[in-house]
Amino acid sequence: MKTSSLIFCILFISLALASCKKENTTVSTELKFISLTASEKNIPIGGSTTITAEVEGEGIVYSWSATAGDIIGSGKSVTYAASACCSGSNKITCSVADAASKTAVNLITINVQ
Amino acid sequence: MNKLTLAITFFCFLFFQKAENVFAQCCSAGSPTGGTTNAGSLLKKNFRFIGFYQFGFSKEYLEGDKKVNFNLVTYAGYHFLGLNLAYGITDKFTVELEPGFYFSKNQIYGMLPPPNNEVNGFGLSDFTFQSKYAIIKNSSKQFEITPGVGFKFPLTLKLQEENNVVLTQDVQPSSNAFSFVGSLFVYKGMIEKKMHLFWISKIIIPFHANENKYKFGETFITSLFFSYSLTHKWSLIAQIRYEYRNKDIRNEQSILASGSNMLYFSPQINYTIGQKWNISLLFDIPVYQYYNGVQLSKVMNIALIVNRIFDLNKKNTLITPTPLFE
Repeated sequence: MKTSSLIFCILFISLALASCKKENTTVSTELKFISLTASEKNIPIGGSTTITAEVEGEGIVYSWSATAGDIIGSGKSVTYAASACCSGSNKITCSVADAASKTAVNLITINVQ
Repeated sequence: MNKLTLAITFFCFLFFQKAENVFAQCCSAGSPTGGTTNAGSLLKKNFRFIGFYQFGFSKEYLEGDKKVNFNLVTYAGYHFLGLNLAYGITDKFTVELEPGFYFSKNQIYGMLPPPNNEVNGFGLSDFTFQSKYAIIKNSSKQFEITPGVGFKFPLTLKLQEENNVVLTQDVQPSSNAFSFVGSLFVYKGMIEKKMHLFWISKIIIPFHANENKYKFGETFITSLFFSYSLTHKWSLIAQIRYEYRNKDIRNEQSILASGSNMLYFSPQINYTIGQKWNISLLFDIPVYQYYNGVQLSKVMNIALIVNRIFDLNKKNTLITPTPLFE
């Protein structure tokens, strides 16, 4: 009896785990990265610019990174600032993901002089 | 003051060697003090515990050694908790592990209104492991020379993010890269005069760039300590320290506005509790600073330190510490 109960529990748990697969969320609007723009593409050392991502989609999550310099803020629009150690052409990358886990990437170059 | 207390005091302020500012050279408040060059070798089966809390901050920029009107970051600071754990394998061979944790490492930008004008990093810093061997250890002459070798290692190679934004290098809690660490410790005691002299040098050489293709420059630090015992409980220590930092490299190109030469004066006072625990307060004051290009300069660091040595040779491990010189 105990053995059969154990086997039953194992089977039940296995079936339960097998059924716990992530559901793919469906979205009505397909993910599209329209543009990535900066208020100023050329800034002096110590200066800053606002970078904005225009994206179509649902449940958008924005991720940002830069090859040099500082990104302040988060979300659709961030501020990019560059100190003296970051002169040159720096790439700022914005990655977006929608509710269906689709992703898109865009980047912009800011010149720091 | 007996030799035991003097030995305790000796180990106590050895810790206050200011060390790595390996990362965040450019434009940051810097990094905490406390490095594995702080002490020489332990006696066999002795365990040394050192814990410290440190606060440091920066507010103004220098170019060369002159103040400049540059207001990108109006404040940069950190709060750090560090440990130094050492164990004597033999009377001459000691191993050390130094972990640390940033409660916060932040920068505030002047061109943006609060509250969205700040970036904050936190978390485990690089760990340092070092082995040291006393090539000369003469108790009667109160003289020791102990070189050490080891490495710094990160707990992660991935840069920290906040709200899906990769934080600037200056507030990253870790360098995210491995480094070689070498040190030399020289000690001369004058216990009969209640004085001790130490000379400690340390070099840190990063092996590689991190995932952001950023490689910190080599660091060389050398310090001269002088200590004097006021009473059997109170001691004063004065440290003069020179730090040289080579330029950082990004994408295999040298960053012009990085690297520095600095001279510090660090006064310190120590109090011994029950001949077991030592508590110290330290001020790290930059006397002269020279920066390549425009960089955030250091204002001051303050540290509160506690330490104790446990002699594990005896059954009761919670005993009075082992004297360095019998």
